[in-house]
Amino acid sequence: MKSRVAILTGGVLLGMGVALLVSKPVEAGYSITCWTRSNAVSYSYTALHEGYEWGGGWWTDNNYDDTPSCPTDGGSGCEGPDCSGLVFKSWAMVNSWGSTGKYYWYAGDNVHGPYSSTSFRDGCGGACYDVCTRPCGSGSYSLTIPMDAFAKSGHIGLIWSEGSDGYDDILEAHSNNAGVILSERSYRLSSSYDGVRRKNWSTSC
Amino acid sequence: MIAGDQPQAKSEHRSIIAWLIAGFVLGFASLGVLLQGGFAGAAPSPDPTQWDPDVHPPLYIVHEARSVTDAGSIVDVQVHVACDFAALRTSECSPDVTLWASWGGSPYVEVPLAETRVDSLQVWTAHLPARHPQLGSLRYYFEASHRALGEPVRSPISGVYEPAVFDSFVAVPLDAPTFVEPEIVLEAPWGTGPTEIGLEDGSEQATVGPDAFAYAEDGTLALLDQVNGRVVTVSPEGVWTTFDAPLKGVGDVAFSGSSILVLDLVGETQGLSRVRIPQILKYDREGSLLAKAPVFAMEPRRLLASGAVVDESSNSLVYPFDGTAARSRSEQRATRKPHSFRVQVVSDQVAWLADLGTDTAFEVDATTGELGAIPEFTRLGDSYLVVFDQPNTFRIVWFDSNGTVERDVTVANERHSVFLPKGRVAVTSRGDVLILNSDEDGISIMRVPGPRGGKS
Repeated sequence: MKSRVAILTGGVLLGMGVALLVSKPVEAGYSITCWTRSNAVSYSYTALHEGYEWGGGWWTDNNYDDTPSCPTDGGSGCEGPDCSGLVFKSWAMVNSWGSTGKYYWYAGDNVHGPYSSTSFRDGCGGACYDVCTRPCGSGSYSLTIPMDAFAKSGHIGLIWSEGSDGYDDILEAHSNNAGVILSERSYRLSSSYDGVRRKNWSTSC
Repeated sequence: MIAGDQPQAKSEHRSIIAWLIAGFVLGFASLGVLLQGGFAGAAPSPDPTQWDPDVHPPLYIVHEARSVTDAGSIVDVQVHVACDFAALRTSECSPDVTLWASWGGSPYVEVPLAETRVDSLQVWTAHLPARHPQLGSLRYYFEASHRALGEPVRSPISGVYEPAVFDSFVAVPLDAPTFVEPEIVLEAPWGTGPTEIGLEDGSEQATVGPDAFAYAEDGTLALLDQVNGRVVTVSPEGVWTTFDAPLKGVGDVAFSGSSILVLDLVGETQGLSRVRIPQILKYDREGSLLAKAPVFAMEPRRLLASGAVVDESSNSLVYPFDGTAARSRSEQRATRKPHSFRVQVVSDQVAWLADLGTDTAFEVDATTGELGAIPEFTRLGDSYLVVFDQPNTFRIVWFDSNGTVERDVTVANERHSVFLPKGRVAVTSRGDVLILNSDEDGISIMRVPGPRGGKS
């Protein structure tokens, strides 16, 4: 009887080891051929109410900041993307400067991507482009679509839903205090923000 | 080895292998589950405590409801949907979306939705008459369901979308405005000191400055200094006092009688839900916390002096307090009311404004220049005030109930720190307008006298 328990235990440990091995590559995301704005809407929604971390990239989709006591630059153990990391992952961008390819990142992948908010504003090395320039103005709604972004030097936020008068609901990795939030913003009216679009969205998936 | 022992040894080997395999399967499966469904193709496993039906539903039905419309028009309804299931991965969230509409008091009927795409965004659309000639005006709501969930999600979660429908509009024609230099009533540098206001301007995050301010009729100002975690009050004599407030970075502030109300749009967790629920905090003028209440609203955007919170997802008012104590979720749903003051931008130059209290609608038409966004529209006795937020200026228009413009001015609009736009404007009972500006040095609050002039 004792030997059977030992064999079973050995099997359990072996199984766990294999599970760990095969799970590792999956957690690092994978190259994809299809990514739409609808994909991005749902993906970015999984980040809402999670934490914020400067230079960060990972979050657990539980709508709660798992590391609320982390300082702004607490490192890889702290939950939350920063503003440009959130856009990079929501747009399923490749972690290679200027690539217009698509790469699915798990929420738990601690990846920020090569782009700062300024480089998003300035065209992501060719992976994105301006759809309107600062200030876009209240007449610019025909130029933007949800999941485009407003970017300036220092910050970027995703258009969640468009208003009609210059205000929009913006999903953004706001700050260490607030985390990832959805709120009404007037970035469209600001002389600091450009409207920015990812290149190479898929038509449908 | 004895020849007769061979079958027994084989049986023993089989048994060992069987136990080993059983152990392997058990270990592989159990750790696989612990790794959060890390294996490709894992199905969503919804956890009810992960969501809140009023604040963060598992399916977010994104809809910008029309606020004001004319009776003869067709209302274009459009939604898109977000799914909060990480395990959906690269497959699109494709819920079943249903639209239910009613005209007047007639029973709700299902209206077919057309599924289409705006670029690569999957949207559902319908075109609904604003008013049925026999039945009455339009009201509607959506339901969305997904195989991973049980009950469908409803939007709005309580009440219905109900555009204010008008047969006619009072014309408010605007000519060229006059630029004025307003009086500066308060200036403060950025900082953490007792007479300074906090600015957080780190890289790769939002610029965080004071999101909102409020004005009391005795001349006291209150500023939400959330970077420093406090509320600042400044008396008419210029005396600053502060008190700590547990702010998370985004919010609004209002005077309500002898109390100061603070809306914390990030909020705290409540009960079993892990989602942070926005909250409203009630302080006395000295900063003692009198009461607090969760705010069950999907898009809380503004705090009113009445203690109501404007939920812009459905143009309704939520009342978190019943006078003193917090209302429960069900009580907040039951006491919701339509927001009386409605704004609808029709084009760059035309806006419709409606006052449901007097059942009056106005068509503001600027023949010169763009109107911009509308952070404020309110009634002042028998007159009205509307403020337009434009890239470089605020345009402020006072007009009477017949649409006659009493005053039309512009003032500078400096948004160094991009605040929550509706927290930047306050109105006195006499119709003066106060506006919060900021530049690289600090904040300023300016006063623009109304047509009746003078300070209140």
